[in-house]
Amino acid sequence: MRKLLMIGGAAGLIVGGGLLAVGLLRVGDRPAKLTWRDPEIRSALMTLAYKVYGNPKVEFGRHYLSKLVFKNTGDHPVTDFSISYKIDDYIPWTDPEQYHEIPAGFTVVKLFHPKLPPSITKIRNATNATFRFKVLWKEEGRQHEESFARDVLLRGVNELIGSDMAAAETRSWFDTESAAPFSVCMVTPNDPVVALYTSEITRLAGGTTAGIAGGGKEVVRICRTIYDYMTATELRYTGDSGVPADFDNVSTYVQTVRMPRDVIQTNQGLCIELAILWSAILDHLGLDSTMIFIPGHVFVIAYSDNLNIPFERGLPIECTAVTPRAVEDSLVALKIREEKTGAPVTFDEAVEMAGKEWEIASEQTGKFIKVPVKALQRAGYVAPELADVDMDKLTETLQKRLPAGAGAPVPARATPAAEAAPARRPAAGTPAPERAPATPAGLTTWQHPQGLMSVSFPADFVSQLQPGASPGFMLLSVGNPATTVSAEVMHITGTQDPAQAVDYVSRVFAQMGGRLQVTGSMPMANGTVMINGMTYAPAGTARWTCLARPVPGGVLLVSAGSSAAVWAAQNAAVQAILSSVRFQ
Amino acid sequence: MRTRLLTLTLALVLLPFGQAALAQVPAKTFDSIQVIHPDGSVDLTFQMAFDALPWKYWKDQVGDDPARLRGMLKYQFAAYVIDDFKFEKDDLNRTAKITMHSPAGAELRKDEGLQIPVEGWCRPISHAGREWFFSGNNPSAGNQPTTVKIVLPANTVDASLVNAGTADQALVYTVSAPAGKARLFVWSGAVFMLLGAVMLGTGRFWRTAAAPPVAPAPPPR
Repeated sequence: MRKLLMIGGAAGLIVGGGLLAVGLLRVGDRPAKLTWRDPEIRSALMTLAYKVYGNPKVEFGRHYLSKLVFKNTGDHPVTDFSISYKIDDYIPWTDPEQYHEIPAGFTVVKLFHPKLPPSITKIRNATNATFRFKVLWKEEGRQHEESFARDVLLRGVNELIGSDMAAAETRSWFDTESAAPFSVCMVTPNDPVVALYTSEITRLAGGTTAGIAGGGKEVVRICRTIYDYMTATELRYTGDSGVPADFDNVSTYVQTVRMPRDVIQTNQGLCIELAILWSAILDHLGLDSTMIFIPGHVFVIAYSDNLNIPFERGLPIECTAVTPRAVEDSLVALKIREEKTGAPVTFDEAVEMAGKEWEIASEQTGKFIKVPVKALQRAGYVAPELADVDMDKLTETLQKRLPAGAGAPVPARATPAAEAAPARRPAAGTPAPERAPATPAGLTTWQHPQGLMSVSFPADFVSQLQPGASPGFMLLSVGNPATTVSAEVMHITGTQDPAQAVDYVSRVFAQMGGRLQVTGSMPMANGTVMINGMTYAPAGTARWTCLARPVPGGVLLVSAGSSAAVWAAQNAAVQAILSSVRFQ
Repeated sequence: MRTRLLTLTLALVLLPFGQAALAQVPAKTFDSIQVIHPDGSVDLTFQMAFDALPWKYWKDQVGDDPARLRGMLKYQFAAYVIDDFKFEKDDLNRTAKITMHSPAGAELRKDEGLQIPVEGWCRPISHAGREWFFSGNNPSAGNQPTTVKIVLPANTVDASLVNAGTADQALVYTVSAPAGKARLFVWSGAVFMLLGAVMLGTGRFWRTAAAPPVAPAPPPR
């Protein structure tokens, strides 16, 4: 037995010693080993959305620039791990993110949401930048370092992609428009340019409480005023399409979309640009909106979440209806009009058109994407910082766009003789002082018999008054048969309501075999209302703009227009006549 | 990385992208089980039950197309690492079960501990040992009733809930060091040596028992 114990003990010591040695020498253990998957790095960023990429909370952080997955595949911890990033010329090396150790078997995911500087929005055309990252760590006490670099395309500030979904997963129209929420980044309610544009509208509207407690009717009223302002200032719709683009595993298109400030300055825009402009204006007024993307088109629905107006009862608006030519086919197809007339589209028609488009999309095709502006702003889709602009110049530009009828809220357009004197805005709450215009060469000025107003028109205009045939309220009717441009002054008695006055003229005109259609109206200062309309008569169709002003004993109507066929060509002449109107 | 795994539940009840902002199809009940492993990986199980109409909508959109569902998950939760997606559904009972694995379930904390973020609207109900139970109504999914069960690793010590009820709510824990092979050898060697020493010591002092006295042979007669 003793011998057995001695042998067993010796064996135990030998085996134990061996195991101890193996253990101490870590034979069989996998040493600490840091491995990583192929880095995922976006090859292109939209600079207009730089705040989205910099916010890890937007959509669960999925808008990262890079995603790195590290794993410690060893049996011992990786120690002193640190990682930092850089984008040449835009972001210096970030403070290293550090971990004292990554335990055995652990996986760590590092996302990089770059805090790009606002100056990045100055990039107008796609520009390459180099993204770098650097990783330091220790394995079993030995220092390691790895660095990596890849070019990233920074798109121009106006470049918007259609989709960011992998081509392999794309199978429907919805997927091809999956980047639609980024359009909210272009909604810039606090841009001074948008603020000025909106203030012009609200001033003409006599203010608004739509965004506070004005109720649904007030929302409709302000939207009507916005639309009428856009048509009165001849905001135009222009068409464009995107350019195909492939990047990473995405196959999509890139469209150049301008900010609302650019649309305001150039006075024209794509459907998406007009929808974005509408959203920016409504947002500035405290109203909410949703952009509705349907195949090939975008329109807007306005509503007020403050008023708990249910979404379904929002006010759909066809933003492109400001350019009748762009929508006349749709107006007929949607049975809003019986035939193409080329007539201006009224606000009510624009609402009806968008309502029908919305009905078709939501109840028949099912192809639509809702982009709720405020909800997405709250989620982090916010506008970039924008450069300063020359506001004085913009103010002047906006003022020149409206026909400056007497009492209109904008200063009279300077005549050549008066150009040296800067136009001044009347003090708030006081009637606009009205200067007697100096009649430029080649113009004739007509004065109202009681001195209630004056208007100037080209000296070659001939009188079109037909004694005994023209209505008694017609004080002046002149025109140029060659250009079809004409001007009329009517004095309607017995009412102080411009709408009633126009209605009366409409009835008289109907008795004469014609038809008069009002396509829009917009209140201005001092009780003046600007009215747009069409006249249909056997001799042809005319388009006109009228300034209606209550005066003692009635309403004065001063209109100028031309044949609808040459409206675009003769519009400047028409506006010149309206600009010369001075009410006393 | 923010492995707010519970937020994965959102994608499972939303219609596909494009419709997502429009409507949601909340489940009648939604149960989530997260089993955390010592290496920080997690096995996720989601079980959902629907009423008749939501079930139809959900199936039309994604329920009848698991590849689409997985594609949506990977798109919406691109920041996460999701593997081993499996999907089962039971049309008779209008229930569905989704399982997946993420190698990066637990977050490393700066204090060298670990944490599992939990949505702030999830209220702790109880915990027993390594199992923690939460429930709440998910505001991002039509306030659907949701239960969450989190099972921490077997070697967990000092688990606690921090920042309860806030956006930073998290289950914080540490784990005892796992037994590596080298450590096992060292301990085994030590045990064997100790045993050998004891045996040797015992053998050295072992005394063979004395033979019993033998009676003298009787004298010859």
